Amino acid sequence: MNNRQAEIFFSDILNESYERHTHPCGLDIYVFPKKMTATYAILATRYGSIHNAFQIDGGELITVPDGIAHFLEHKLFFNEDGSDSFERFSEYGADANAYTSFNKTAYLFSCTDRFAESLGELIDFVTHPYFTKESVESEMGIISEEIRMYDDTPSDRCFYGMLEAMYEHHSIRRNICGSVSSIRRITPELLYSCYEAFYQFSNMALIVCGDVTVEEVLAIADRHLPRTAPQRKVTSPNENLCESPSVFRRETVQYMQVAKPLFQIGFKDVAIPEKGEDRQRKDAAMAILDEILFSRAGELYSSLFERELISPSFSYGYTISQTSAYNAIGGEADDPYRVLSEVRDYLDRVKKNGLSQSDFERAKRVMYAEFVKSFDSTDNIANNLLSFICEDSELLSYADILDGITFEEVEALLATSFEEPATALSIVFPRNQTSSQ
Amino acid sequence: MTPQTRHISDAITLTAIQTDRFKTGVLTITFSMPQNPVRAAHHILLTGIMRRGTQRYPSLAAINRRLDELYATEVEIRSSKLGKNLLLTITAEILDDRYVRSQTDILAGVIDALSEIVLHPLYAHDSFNEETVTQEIRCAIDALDAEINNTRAYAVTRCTEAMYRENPEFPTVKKIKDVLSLTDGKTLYRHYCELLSLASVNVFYIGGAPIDRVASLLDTAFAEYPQGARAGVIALSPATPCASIALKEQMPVSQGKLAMGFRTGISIATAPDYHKGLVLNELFGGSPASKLFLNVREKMSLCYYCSSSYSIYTGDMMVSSGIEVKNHDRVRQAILSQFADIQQGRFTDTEFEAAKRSLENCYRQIYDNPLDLSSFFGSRRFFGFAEDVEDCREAIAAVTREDVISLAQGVVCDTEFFVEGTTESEEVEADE
Repeated sequence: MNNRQAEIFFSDILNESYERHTHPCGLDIYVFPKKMTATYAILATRYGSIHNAFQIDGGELITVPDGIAHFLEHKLFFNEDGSDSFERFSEYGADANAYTSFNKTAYLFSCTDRFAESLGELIDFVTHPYFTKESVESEMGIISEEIRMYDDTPSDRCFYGMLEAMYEHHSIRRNICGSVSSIRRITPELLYSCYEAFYQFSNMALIVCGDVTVEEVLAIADRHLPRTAPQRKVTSPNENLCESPSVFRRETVQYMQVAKPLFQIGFKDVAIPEKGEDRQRKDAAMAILDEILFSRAGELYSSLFERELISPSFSYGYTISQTSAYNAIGGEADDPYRVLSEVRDYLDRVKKNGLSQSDFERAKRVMYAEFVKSFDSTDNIANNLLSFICEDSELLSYADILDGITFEEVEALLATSFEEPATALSIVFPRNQTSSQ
Repeated sequence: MTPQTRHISDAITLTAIQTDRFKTGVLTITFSMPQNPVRAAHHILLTGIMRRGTQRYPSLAAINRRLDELYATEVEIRSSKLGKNLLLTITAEILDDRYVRSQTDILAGVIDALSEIVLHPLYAHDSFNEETVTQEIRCAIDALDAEINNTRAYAVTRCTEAMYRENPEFPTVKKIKDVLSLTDGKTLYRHYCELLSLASVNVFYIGGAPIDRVASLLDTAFAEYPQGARAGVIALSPATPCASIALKEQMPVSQGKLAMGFRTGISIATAPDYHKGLVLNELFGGSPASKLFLNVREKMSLCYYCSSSYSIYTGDMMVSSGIEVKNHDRVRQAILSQFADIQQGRFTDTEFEAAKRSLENCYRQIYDNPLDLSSFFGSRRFFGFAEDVEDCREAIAAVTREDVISLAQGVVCDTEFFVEGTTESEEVEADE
C-alpha cells in the first residue's frame, strides 16, 4: 500500500501505542497492537440517528425517516447472494455484532483465529450494500420487536424523556431505532441514498486492536478495498445552533410498570467548543467536576441516600459531541421533585462556597485510574478509540490532558454550568400513581 | 497462567495467578455456606451493611473516599448461589502499581481496606445499628420489587422458581422478602458471626504480585479471622425434572416475554459430560449462528432476541425471547421445533462446527479478562474440580454430533413462564 500518511501515537505512562494510516481510497486505518488472545476490529462511519437531514454537494435538503441509520445497520448483513454475514463470521469462529448510536454506526467482530478471513468479510459486507423490497419488509418485524423491547424498558424511556425535555429541535430527542410507524416509511431507495451519502471512505474508520501487525492489517485492507473512491461533500445541519441555552420544557412525566419512580435530571450545555481538542479538554474537566459533585464519596450522594431520598443505584456523567452536550444524573426515588430540589440547593451552595482542593485531587486520581483500566480489553480500546476519532481528538493524550486540568479551570466550569434554566427533569412513575409536585 | 494455592489459615485458602498482562488486578474473597432462604435474605442485608462503613472508615463516604485514594479501587459486594451453596463475594478491581505516579502500595491498601470491611463493620453491643438495618431492608425489598422493571429478567426468574418449586430450600423472592421483614440489628449480627465462624473462605487473586506477597498481606490483614471447623461445600447434583407446568402473568407492557426451562440432566457434577451441554446450548441458542437466532429471528422474523443459556452448575438450559403477544404459540412451537431438529439430528456439520468454534473463541478469550479468569478458576476450584481452560477447550473439541443428539434426546422442557403484555405500543410521530 502506498501510504499517503502514517502517524504514530504513543503514551509512556500507559506503555501503549497505535498507528494511523490512510488508504488511497480515503479510509483511515488504525492499528493498535495489543498482546491479547482476542483481536477486535471495527469498521465504522460517522453516521448516526441524528443525521436525518443532509445535503449532498450543496443540493437540496434531503430528510429521511427516523430510525433509518439503525435500519441500514441491520440490513447490511444481508448479501446479494442471499447469505447472511453472521453465518460467514460463524464459519471463521468470529463473534460479530453492530450498533448504531446518535452519531455513528459500527460493525465489529472479535476473534481468536482466522483474523484475515474475518477482516476481509467485515470490509466486504460493509462496502457492498444490497437492499430489496423483500429484505426491507422482512426486517420490519425484527426491528418492530426491538422497538417494543425498548419501549417497555423504563430506564430507556426515562432517558429519552430527559432528552425530549431538554431539546426542542435537535434530533437527539428521537429514539435511535425510530418508531414502528417511522420505519414503515423506509424503502430500499432511501437506504441507498443514505448509504451513498454517509458510507464514503473519507467519513469512515477501520480500527483493529489485538495481536496483529500494522503490515498484516494494511495488506488485508489492500486486498479488499478499492484503490480509489468517489468523494461527495455531505453536510448535515449543526442542530446545536438551533437550540436555546434553556431547556425546551421543565419536565417529562411518563407512567409505566415500575416498582418505584425512576428519574433523570439533565443539565443542557450549548457551549460546545468547535475544535475536537477543546471538546476533549472540556470533557476531562467536566468528568472531574462530576466526580467531585456526584460520586458515592461525595456529600450529595451520602446525604440523599442516608435520608432515603434515593435508592443505592445512582448514575452521573457528561456527554459531549460536536452538536450536543449535557450532564445527567439519575436513579430511583419516591419523590423525584424533592430530589431535584435538594440537588439544586446543593449546587447553589457549592457554587457559592467553592470546591475543595482535596476533593479535586481525589477526583483527578479516580478519573486517571478509570482511564488506565480501560486499556485491559481490546473491545474497550477499540470502541474508546472510535469515540475519540469521531470527536476529532486523540485517545492516548487523554491521560496528560486529565493531569493538566487545573483546580481553577474546574471551578470556572462549575460557575457556568448546572444553571437553573438549563435543568430538566424526566420521571417514570408507576402506573396508577399520580404525580405531585 | 497456572494457578497456585496457599493455605493462609484453617479458614482461608488463597488461589493466585501472577501475570503482568493486565493493568488491573482482581482480588475476590468468597464466603460460602449451605443455602436456605433465611441465610439468603441475611446475606443480601449484609452486602448492604458492609458497604455502609467500618470502625476505621465510619460512613459510606469515608470508605468510598478511602477506595478512591487507592486509585478508584472498585469494590463490589454481592450474594449469589452456586448449586446449593450460598455465597457472599467481595470483589476488588485494583490498578497495578506500575501505572501510578505516587508511592502508593495499592495492593496492601486494598487488602487492608477489605479486612476492615470484613472484620470491622459498624456494630456495637452485639448488634448492627437498627436504623441502618431498617434502611437496608427497605433497599433490599425495593431491589427485589424492581424486578418488574425488567420483564425479560422477571420471566426468567419466575420460570426458574417454578422449576425448583418442590425444593423447600430454594430461596424464592417471596421467601426472602418474608425473612427480611422479620430481621433486626441483633438477628443480622448473629448471622454475621455465624458467617465468620462457619463459612469457608476462598480468596482468588490475579495480578502482578507474586503469591507469597499476596499471602503475606492476607495473613497480616486477616490475622484475627476466627479459626475452627468450616462448613463443607455441598457437592453439585443435577436438577431433576418436575411435572410440566406453564404459567402466565399479564402485565401492562407491549412486548410479551417468554421463558422456557429445559433440563439437560448434566452439569459439572457429572463431568466430563457437561461439555456436551455447552455445545448443545451453543448450537440451540447460544450465538448468532444458533438455530434459534437464524431461524426464529432471521428467517421467521418473529423476534428481536431468542436465545438460550446453560448453567454448568445445575444443568438447566433457559430460553428467553421477546415477542408479539399474538405470536406466543407460534414462537413456542418454533422453539420446540428447532430443539426437535437437534434431537433428530437435523442440523448440518457446518452448524455443528460453528457452535464449537463459537465456544472455542469464547473460552480462548477468558485469558483476556481477569474477572473471567477469576470466575472460571474460582468456581471450579470451589468444587474441587481441577479443570483448567485448556482441559475445557479440549473437551469441547472432542464432543461429537452423536454426543449432542444423544444428550438432546434425554432433555425435557418442563417449565414455561410467559409475561403477557396487555398494552399497545405507544406511537409517537416524528413531527410532534
